[in-house]
Amino acid sequence: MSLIVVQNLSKTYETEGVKTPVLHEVTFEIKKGEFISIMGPSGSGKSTLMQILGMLDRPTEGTYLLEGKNITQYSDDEMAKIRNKKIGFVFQSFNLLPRTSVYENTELPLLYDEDHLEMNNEKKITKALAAVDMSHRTNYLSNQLSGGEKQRVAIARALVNNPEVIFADEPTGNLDSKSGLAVMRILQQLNDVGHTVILVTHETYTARHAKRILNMLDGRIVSDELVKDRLIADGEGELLK
Amino acid sequence: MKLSSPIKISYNNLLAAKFRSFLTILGIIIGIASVIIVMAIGASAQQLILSQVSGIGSNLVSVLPGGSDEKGPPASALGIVVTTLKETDLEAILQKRNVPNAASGSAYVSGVGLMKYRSNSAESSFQGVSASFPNVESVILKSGRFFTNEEESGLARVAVLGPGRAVQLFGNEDPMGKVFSIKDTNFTVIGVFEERGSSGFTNTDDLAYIPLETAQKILLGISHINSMRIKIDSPANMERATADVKYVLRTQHKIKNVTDEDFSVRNTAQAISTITNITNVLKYFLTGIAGISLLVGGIGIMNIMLISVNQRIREIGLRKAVGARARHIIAQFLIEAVFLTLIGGLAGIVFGIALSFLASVVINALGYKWEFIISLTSIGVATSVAILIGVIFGLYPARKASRISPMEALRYE
Repeated sequence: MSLIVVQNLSKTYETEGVKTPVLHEVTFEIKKGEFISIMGPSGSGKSTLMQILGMLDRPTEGTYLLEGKNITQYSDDEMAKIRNKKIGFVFQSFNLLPRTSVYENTELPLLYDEDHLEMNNEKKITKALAAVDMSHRTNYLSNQLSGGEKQRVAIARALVNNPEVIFADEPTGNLDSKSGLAVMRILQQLNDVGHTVILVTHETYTARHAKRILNMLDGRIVSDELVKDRLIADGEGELLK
Repeated sequence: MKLSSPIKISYNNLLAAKFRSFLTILGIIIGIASVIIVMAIGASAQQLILSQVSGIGSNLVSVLPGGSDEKGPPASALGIVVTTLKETDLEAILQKRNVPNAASGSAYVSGVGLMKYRSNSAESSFQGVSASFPNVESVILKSGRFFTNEEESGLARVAVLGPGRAVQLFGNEDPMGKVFSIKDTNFTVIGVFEERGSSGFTNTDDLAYIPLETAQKILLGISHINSMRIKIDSPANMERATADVKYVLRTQHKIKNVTDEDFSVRNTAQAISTITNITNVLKYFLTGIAGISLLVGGIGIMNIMLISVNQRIREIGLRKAVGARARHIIAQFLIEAVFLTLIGGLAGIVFGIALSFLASVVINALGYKWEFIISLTSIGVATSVAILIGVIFGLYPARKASRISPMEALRYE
């Protein structure tokens, strides 16, 4: 069964009576365990698509099935609950809480998981920080970290609730190439252990770390193909040294 | 969601903008402090007034000439001369078979006249009272004695002075046995009272006390009395004795209907409850005014919370993205607002208590018997009000924060 099924999905923004269509009847499926890049220039609608898939926004028309459930009719709070349990986000600008420790930043999603309050939180946090190789910075404050370290903490935060899907919106956009590679390596490792990863990027190079690429232009999917010569972040990392 | 988390966040935000937080909280500090101060000073002032009323003496029934309803003052209190009350009325009341609970009683007349001793002279007040006066009011003699029944009926020209009057007439001299004049009639000083302080509108320490009949016949030329006070044996009998006194006076004055009474009877218990009512109203009124400053402080809190919501839009977006529901966001900002007002409230309580204490020290130094009273109620009320203000003025910003769309919040620059 497909993890994500999107059919005829459209999105039109309306500001002060002016309608701006952003997505036009998009249809595709994503299976569990995929690593997919959504690619396209700015204005192509890739970020809007990611926001709808990540349940941060609702489509104007069409259906979106997550694990077989049509979630377009869900209330805000129901959507928040699903984001908490099934979805992890990594943003271009990290979005860590300022003046807050690495540990507490990672803990954030657990605070809102009301079904498992206080259950093995410390273990989950330690595990997530180990997965991004940040165990040695547990008690640092977020503003004491470098950009690459910040993004790794953000990934740990996305991981901590063991979500089905990890959405990464231009995760390397604010990083130098070395830190960017480290981030891509972590995303590939997460995919290797079974997480579905959806990456949004405008760089072909970054996109080629995925297994499949959706190309978007003007709110439509123009191509959907598997990556033939996939880049493995580990190898490239070696080359760069 | 764990409660400790938002408190910690509030604390961090508070520290991050120390001066701004302090200014915000200052409104609450001032508001709560003024409520505490007004309540404390109100309670102390009430205590002072009540102690002055009961200072005249406890278990007293007062009779004034002229009828009145219970709530209004009798005509005589408004300066209208009513001549219906006589000393014989008091004698009738003091007979055991008439008012069995009457322990003692005194009649009063008062007047103003020129008092002279050598070169000292001043227009001042005197009071003609019965020989049993010291048994009725709480007075203590500093020196000498009070006049006797014989001196009273014999129109003796003797006087007992309040300590203030004694100093004004005789300065540093010992007044005992000295002769001074009231309205050109000579009086011999036979006693001086201890200080009692002022009661109501007259300072009893400045009076000269002379025998009732001497005052009536020699100085004033009247046969009626201005008032009388009857001491009742125990507080439990006040009601009954008051009724008895009224009955005796109606009989004396040949009055059949209660509505036709030409006298007014009050007891100190009534007076104390009336004064308590009046001072309570004043106290709550002043507290209400102090409360206005709390309102202003609350608006300051709302303002700063709205700024805080705007500054932390991305944080709100992130929290929502990772699963925070609307109520989590509301709780977080409400707790922050309450955290601010509670800190302000506690500081205000400390500040208010300190200032009230300072006020009591100053007022005591000025010679008043001013008690320092801080009630637990006022502290409890102040704390609850501080929390309530946080909730009320934090609710709007918190709801506003909870309605921010996570997507727009994350895009916000």
